[in-house]
Amino acid sequence: MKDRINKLIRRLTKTYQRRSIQFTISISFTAIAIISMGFVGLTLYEKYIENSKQLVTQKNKQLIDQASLNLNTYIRNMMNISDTMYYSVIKSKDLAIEDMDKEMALLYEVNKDNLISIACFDDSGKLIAASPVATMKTDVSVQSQDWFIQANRKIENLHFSKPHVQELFDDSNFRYYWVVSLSRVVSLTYQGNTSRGILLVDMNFSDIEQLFSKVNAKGEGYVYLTDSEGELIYHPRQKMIYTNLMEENNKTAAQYEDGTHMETFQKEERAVVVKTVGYTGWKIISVTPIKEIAINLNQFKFFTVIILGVSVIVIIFGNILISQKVTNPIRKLEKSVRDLESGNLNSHIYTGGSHEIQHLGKTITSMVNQMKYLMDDIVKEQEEKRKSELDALQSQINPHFLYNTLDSIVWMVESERYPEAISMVTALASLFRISLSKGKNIISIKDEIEHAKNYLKIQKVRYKDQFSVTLDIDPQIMNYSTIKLIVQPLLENAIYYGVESMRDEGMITIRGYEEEGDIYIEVSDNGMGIPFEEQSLLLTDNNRARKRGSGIGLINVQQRIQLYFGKEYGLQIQSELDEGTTIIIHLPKVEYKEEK
Amino acid sequence: MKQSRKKIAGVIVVLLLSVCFYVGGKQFFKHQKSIDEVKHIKIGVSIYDEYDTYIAELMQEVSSLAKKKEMEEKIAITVDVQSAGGSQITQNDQIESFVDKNYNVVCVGLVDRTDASGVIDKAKSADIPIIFFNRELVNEDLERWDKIYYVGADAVQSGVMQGEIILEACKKNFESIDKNKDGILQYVIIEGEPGHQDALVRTEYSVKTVVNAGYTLQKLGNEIANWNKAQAITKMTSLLEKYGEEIEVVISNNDEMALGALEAIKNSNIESYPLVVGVDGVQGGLESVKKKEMIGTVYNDYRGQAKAIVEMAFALSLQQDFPEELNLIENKSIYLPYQKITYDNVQEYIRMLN
Amino acid sequence: MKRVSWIVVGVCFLSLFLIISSQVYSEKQTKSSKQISVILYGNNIDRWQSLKQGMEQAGKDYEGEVNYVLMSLEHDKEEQLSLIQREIDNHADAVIIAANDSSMDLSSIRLPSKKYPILCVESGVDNQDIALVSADNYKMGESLAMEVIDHENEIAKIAIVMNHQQRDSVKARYEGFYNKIVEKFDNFTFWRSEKGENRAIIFAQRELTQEAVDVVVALDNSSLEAVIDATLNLNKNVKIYGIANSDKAVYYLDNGKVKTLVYQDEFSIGYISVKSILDGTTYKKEKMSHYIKYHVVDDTTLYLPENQHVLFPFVK
Repeated sequence: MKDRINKLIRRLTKTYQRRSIQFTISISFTAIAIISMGFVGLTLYEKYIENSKQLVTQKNKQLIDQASLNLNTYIRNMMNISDTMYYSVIKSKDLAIEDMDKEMALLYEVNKDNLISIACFDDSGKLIAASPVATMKTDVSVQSQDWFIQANRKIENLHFSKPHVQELFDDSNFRYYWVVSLSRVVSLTYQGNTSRGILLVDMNFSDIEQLFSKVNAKGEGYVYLTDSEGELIYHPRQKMIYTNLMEENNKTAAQYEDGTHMETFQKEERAVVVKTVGYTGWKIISVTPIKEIAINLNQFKFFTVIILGVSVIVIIFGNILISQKVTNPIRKLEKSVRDLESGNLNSHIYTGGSHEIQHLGKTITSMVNQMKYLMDDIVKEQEEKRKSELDALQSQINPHFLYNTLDSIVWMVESERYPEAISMVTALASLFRISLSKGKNIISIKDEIEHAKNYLKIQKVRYKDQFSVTLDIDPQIMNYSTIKLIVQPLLENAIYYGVESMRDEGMITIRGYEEEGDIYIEVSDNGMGIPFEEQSLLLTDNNRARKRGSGIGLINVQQRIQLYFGKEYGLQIQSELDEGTTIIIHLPKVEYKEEK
Repeated sequence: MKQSRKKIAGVIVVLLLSVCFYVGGKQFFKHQKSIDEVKHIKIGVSIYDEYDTYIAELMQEVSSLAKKKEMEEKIAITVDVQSAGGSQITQNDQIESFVDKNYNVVCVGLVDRTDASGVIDKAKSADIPIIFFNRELVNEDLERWDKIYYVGADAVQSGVMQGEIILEACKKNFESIDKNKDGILQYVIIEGEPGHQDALVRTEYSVKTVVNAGYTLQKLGNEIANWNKAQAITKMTSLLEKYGEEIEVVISNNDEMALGALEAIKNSNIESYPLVVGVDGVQGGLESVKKKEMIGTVYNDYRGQAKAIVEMAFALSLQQDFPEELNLIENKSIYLPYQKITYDNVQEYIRMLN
Repeated sequence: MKRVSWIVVGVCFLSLFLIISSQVYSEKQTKSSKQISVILYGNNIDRWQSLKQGMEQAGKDYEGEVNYVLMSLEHDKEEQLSLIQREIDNHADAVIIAANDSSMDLSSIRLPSKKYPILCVESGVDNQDIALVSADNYKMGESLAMEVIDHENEIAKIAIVMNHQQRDSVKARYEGFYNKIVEKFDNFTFWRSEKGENRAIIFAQRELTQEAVDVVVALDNSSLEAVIDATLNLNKNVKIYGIANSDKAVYYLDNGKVKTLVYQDEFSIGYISVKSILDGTTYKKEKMSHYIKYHVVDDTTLYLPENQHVLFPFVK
C-alpha cells in the first residue's frame, strides 16, 4: 500500500516536473492563491459567524428589553386607570346619593383604545356601574369568576388575571372579547357606611398581542409571555398549542433566572432569554432556535461561495494569461533552439521578452554564430589539409625525378652494375612506400628518416658523391610522430639549391633532437645560402616559380606542419650567404601510435 | 493544437448561449404567466371592524356580486375580506400582505380616516389601485394619487333626510310627539364614533333641518355609543334614568344604536315612547320600522355601493374603463344617494333587499 | 491569438458561473411557494374563520399560499365541480374541498398528474382514495344524542333537521345521533327544506309553526342558525341542540337559547390539511389516521379554559 502511494507521488512529481513552465507556474500560482484565499476566507467567515451569533443574541436581548418596556408601560397605564377610578372617583362618592357613571364613562372614552370595559361590583357580585356597556348577560355568576376571587384573596394588591373571554356584558353582535382582568378590592361608601366592592378594569388582550406581534415580526425566533407560574399569556402560536398541534417549553423556561440560557427542546437547540416584568411577575421569554441563525448565515455562506467561485475562476484564468505572457518568450526561445537542434543553423533565434530571456537569446545567437565560424574554419582547415596532402602526394610523383632515377637504373642495368641497380630500385620502392604510407599522414620519425635515407641513397647515386650526408638523430625521438614528407623536401632543397652548384664537396647534415619538450629536426647544408630578403618569402610566397626540384616546396611543408600541429610549429630558416643554410623543423612531441 | 482549442471555445460558447436562452425563456414565461393570470382577479378588502352591521351587510353584498360577476365574465374572482379589529396598524399590515400577494385591487374601509398614509403609500409603491369606502378620506389624501377612489354616500344628505323624516312626522302628528305640550321638541342624540364624518355630519344636519323648518329643538343630552347597540342600550338607559318621559325624540346616527335605544326604552317603564329615527336601513332597522317602533330610517344604499366597488375593482384589474352608469365625480368618487324609509315604503325595501 | 482565446474562455466560464448562481439564488429567494386552492361550500367565508386561521398558520409554517373560493349558493354540485376544474386549470398546486355533495364524481376532473394532491375537509367525497380531515362525525352525533338523553324527558318530541344529508359528514352525524337516541326516545319528527325555500330561516319557521315540538336537533351550521333565528322570531320556547361551528351558535349557547353544542376544532382541521399537502407525506387516505378533536359544551362549561380557546378564536 505504501509502495503504491510512493509510486503515485513519484509519478505525480515527475509529471509535475516534466511539464512545461507555463503549466507549472499556473498550477503553483493558482494553488497558492486558492490556499491563501481559502485561509483568509475561512478565518473571516468564522469571525463573521461568531459576530453574527453575538449580534443576534444581543438583538434578541434588545427586543426583549423593548418588549418589556412596552409591556411595563402598558401595565402601568392600566394600573393608573384603576387607581384613578378608585382614588379620584369611588373614594369620594357617596353611592347612596350619587353615581359614578359620568366619570367612568369619561375614563373609558379616554382609554377606549386599550380597554374593553371598566366596572364596579359590590361584594355580592351586583353591578354598581360599568362603562361602556352596562347590560349584563343573563345568569352570570360574578362571584365565581377568577378575578373576583383573586382580588378578594389579597385586598391590598392589584390582581392580573390570565387572558380569558369576558363573561359579563351582553354585546348583541355575538361579539366576545379576550381580556386580561385587572381587579382590586375597593371601599364603597354608602352614607358614611363603608363596604367592600371590587373594581374591574378589563384590558383589551389584543393590545398585548399587538405589542408582541410587532416584536415577533422579525424572523429569527419568537417572544412569548407567561405568568409567574409559566402559564401562557401570549404566544405567537397560541392556537396551535391549545389545540395540541405543538408544544412549548413554557413551564420550564419560566423557572429560569432572568438572562440567557441554552436549552434543548424537542431535539432542537435554542437560545432562551428570560426577563421578569415587575409587579405582575409575568415573564417575557424569547426563544431563538440556533438553526434559524444558521439559516440566515446560509445566505452569507452562499454569497461567500459565489465570491470564492468567481475569484477562483478569475484567478485561474488570470494566472493562465499571466503565465502565458511570462513564458511566451521562453517558449519562443525554446522553439528557436529546437529549430537549431534539427540542424538549421540559420534559424533566427528569438531575442525578445524579459531581459534575461533577451540575454539568453543574444548569447545563444552569438554562440551559434561562433559555432558557424569555427565550423567554417574547420571545414576550411580540412579542405586545406586535403589540398596539401594532395599536393604533397602529387609532387611525389614528380616526373623528372622519376625519369632521372629510372634512367639511372636503366644505365646501371645496361652497365651490368646489378647490385647498384637493385639497391636503387629497392630504395625507390621504399621511397614510394613511405610516401604513400598507406594513406596515413602521420608516421613515425623513424619512418620519415628512413624515407630521407632512401632519397639520399638515390640522389647520391645520381649526384656521384657530390655531397656527403651526416645523420645525427637522437634515437629517443624515433618513436615520436611527424607528418610524412617533410625532411625529403628540405633535402631536395639542400641538394638543388645548396650543394649542387658547389665546386667542393657539399656537406648535408641531418640532426634530430629533443629540446624543451619539442622535437627539432635540422637539415643543414653548407651551400650558397639564401639571401635575407628571400628567406621570409620562402615560407610565404606560394606563387614563386620553382626552378627545379620536386616542387613541394617549403611552403607546403610549413603549411602541412602548421595545419596539423598548429601555428607555433613549423619551419625556421637560418641562412648565411656563402656559408650555408639550416632549416629547422619544429614539431611537438607526440608519441607515435600505430593506427589500425 | 489550435484545432482542439477552437473546439473547446466552440463548446463553451454553445453552453453559454443555451444557459442564456434558458434563463431568458424562464423569465419570459414568468411574464407570460402573469399576463395569463389576468384570468384570475384577486381583490383584497380590509374593513375596520367586522362587527359593524352595516359593514357586514355591505361585505356580504360585495361577495355575492363578485360571485355573480365571476359567473358572467368567466374570470375567477377572489375577494379576501379581512377585519382590522379597530387597529390602523393591523390594517396597514393587511394592506402590506395584499401587496405582497400581488392582489389586483385593494378596498379599504379605514379604521382612522385621518391616517390614510400607511395604506396609500404601500399600495402606491406597488402600483395597486385603492378603493376606499364608507369612511371618507380628506381631500388632500384623495388627491395624492390618481388611482385612489372613494365609494360612499353624502353624509349631509343622510342627516337632512333624518331631519325630513322627523318633519314629516311632526307635520302629521305634532301634538302626540310634543308630550309636554311646550311647543319645543326635547330630544337626545345617540352618536357614533367620535371623529367619524358620518357621526358629525348627521348629528348636525338632522337637527339643522328641523330647526330650519321653523321648529324649536331642545337638546336634553347626547351620548356616544360608537355605532354599537349594546353601548346604546347602556347610554339610553342612563338618559332615561335622567330624563325619562321628557324625551320626545331620539335621533340616532345609525340603526344599531337606534335599536339599542329602543330596547332600553322597552326595558324601562316609559309609557309614551319617543320618536326614534335611525340611518342605514339594515335588516333590524327595517323590521323595526315595519313594527312602527322606529318612525323611519334612511337607507344607506349598501347594494349600490357594493355594486360600485365590484364594478370598479373589476375594471381596474383588467385595466378597462369604468362602466358608464357609475357617475364618478372627477373620475374619483361616487356618492350613492340615500333614500328615506318610513312605514309607507318599508315593505318594498324589505322585499327588495331579500 | 492564443491569449485572446484564453480570455474568451475565461469570460465565458465566469458569466456561466454568475448566471447559474444568480438563478439558484433567486430561486432560493422565491422558492415559489405552493398554491393551494380551497373550495368551500356556502357563500359566507365568516363561517370558516377558524378553518381559515388554521390553514393560514400552516401556510406560513410550510411555505404555501392558500386561496379561498366560495360558492354562489349554499349548495350546488355542478358548480363545485366546475370550480375545482377551474382552479386546477389555473395552476393550483393542490386542491382542498369541503364537499357540499359527497356523491360528487371527481373522476371527471382532468388532473395534471396522477399524484395531484386532493384533500377533503369537514365533508368528504364517497369514492376514491381521497382523505377527509374531520372529527369523528358519527361519534359527534352520538355525543349529542347522549346529551339529549341526559337532559330530556323520554316523552319529549324531538324534531331532527334533515337538511344537507348529501354531505357525508352530516349523514354520519345523523346516523350516530339516531342510533343512540332511539335508546330512550321514540317520538320523532323530521324537518326538511322544501323547494323554493332558498333562505334557511323560511323552512325553520314553517316547520316550527306547523307542529309543536320540545326539542329541535340541528346537525350543521346553517340549519342550527336558521332554527335559532326562527325560534327568536316566532318567540317559541324549544330546547335546541346542535352540531355547529358558528359565533352565533356560541352566543346563543351562552345565553341559554341553545342547550348543548357539539363543536369540532376546525383550526386543527385547517392546519393539518394544509400541512399534509405542503409536507407532501400524509394526504393519502390510507395514511391519514387520526381524527380531529371535538368538544361538547353547554352554558356551564362554555368558559372553561380548554373550551374557551377553541370556541372563541382570537380574531386577528
